[in-house]
Amino acid sequence: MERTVTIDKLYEGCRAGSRQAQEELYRALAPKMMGVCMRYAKSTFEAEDMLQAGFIKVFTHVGSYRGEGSFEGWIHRIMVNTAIEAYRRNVRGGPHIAIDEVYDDVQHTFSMDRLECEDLIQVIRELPDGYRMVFNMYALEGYSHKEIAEALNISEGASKSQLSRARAWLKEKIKQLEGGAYETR
Amino acid sequence: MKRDKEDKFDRQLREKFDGFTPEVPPGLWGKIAEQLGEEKQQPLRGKKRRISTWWMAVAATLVVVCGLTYWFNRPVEVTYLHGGAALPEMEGPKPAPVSEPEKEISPAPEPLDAERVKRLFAKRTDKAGNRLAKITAANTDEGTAARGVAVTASAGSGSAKEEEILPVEQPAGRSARLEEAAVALEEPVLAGVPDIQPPVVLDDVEDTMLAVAPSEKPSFGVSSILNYVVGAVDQREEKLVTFSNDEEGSLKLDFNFSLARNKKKKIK
Repeated sequence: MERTVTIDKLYEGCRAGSRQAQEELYRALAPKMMGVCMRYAKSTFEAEDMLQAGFIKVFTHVGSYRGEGSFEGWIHRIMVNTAIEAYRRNVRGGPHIAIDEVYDDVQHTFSMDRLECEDLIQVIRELPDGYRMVFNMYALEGYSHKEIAEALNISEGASKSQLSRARAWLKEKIKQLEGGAYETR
Repeated sequence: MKRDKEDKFDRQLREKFDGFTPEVPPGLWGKIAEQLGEEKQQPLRGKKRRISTWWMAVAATLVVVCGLTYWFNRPVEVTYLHGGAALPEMEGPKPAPVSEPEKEISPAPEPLDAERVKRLFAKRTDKAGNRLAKITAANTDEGTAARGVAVTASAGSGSAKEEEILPVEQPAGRSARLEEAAVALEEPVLAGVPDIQPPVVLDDVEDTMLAVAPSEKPSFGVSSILNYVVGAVDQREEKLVTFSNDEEGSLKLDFNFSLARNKKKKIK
């Protein structure tokens, strides 16, 4: 609650163009937003570029925040949009890579306590770009297939198909990481 | 059931990443602040530059178009012959731009000797008289009496009378004009003009010299281009449309309506 209040106060300062308020907002939210960017980016360098471009957008377009939802949530959406723009730029003329059909064993539950976030991010980064975007947006951000289809300029069917394959592929990879130490229910 | 299992997998991942706060590179804020400082100045500068470039391009295009239009439609230069009418004006002070370059190029003009010029004229008159006498004598030998009273008289009375008659045989006003030229050449202002050479030029064509119209150089302009285009399209000898320029430089269009009618008939 206290953190939310602080960020809202910083919003006022950012809107007034205060460089100190901008820096404080950056210090408060940069690590969390860096985590978001790392999930979407292919490398840490790309994630840093995304974070930088995202914060530039935040500070230059702070006036367009209408107060609908939290300021932090608005910044989070800007980071995701920045990642989508980067994907659109990279996907032009690039090869479309598909992953083979993987058997989805839904009978297993994963114990992710033994895995580090960096390991999981490393697994997610191994996904082809399109699959990684769909999985991040649907499974971790909560976007609908319709929204994903519009954002990535693909059909809803393609979005569903890619999500299914990405999920099955990730499960398989995480199983391998855990070394078979998952529970069977 | 399947949906629940998938949601659980997604939820597990979401919870795992919820508290994920990786380390941010320390110099990143400096880059952002630097870029923010540039962003504040760049948009205005960029817009200004774009607008000014656009207007400059438009202005340059307009200037080029106007220049070409004027060049192709410029008035044709008309040269008027002034003859003797210009002589009195030359007595006054000479305009600087005309006289100064001539001084530099041509050597200093030496004053003409009027006596010498008169002698020259007399000499040439004698020569011409002798030539005419020979011609008239030949004509009378052949029995052609239709050459005029003066010629017949000269042939009959011999060389003593030739000298009296020959000045009459000269073209009217020739000697008078020569005398005028000689008197004019005595004047100091005219002596300074190096290009005047009337005694030498006035041989047989002096009567027609001033009457001849100035030679017009065929001007290459819009009409020539248009005629070329019409000629490329219409390959007949007579063209349906002909373009020409008048003396003032206006473009004239001539339609050959007879050709147009023939064409209609052919089409029917």
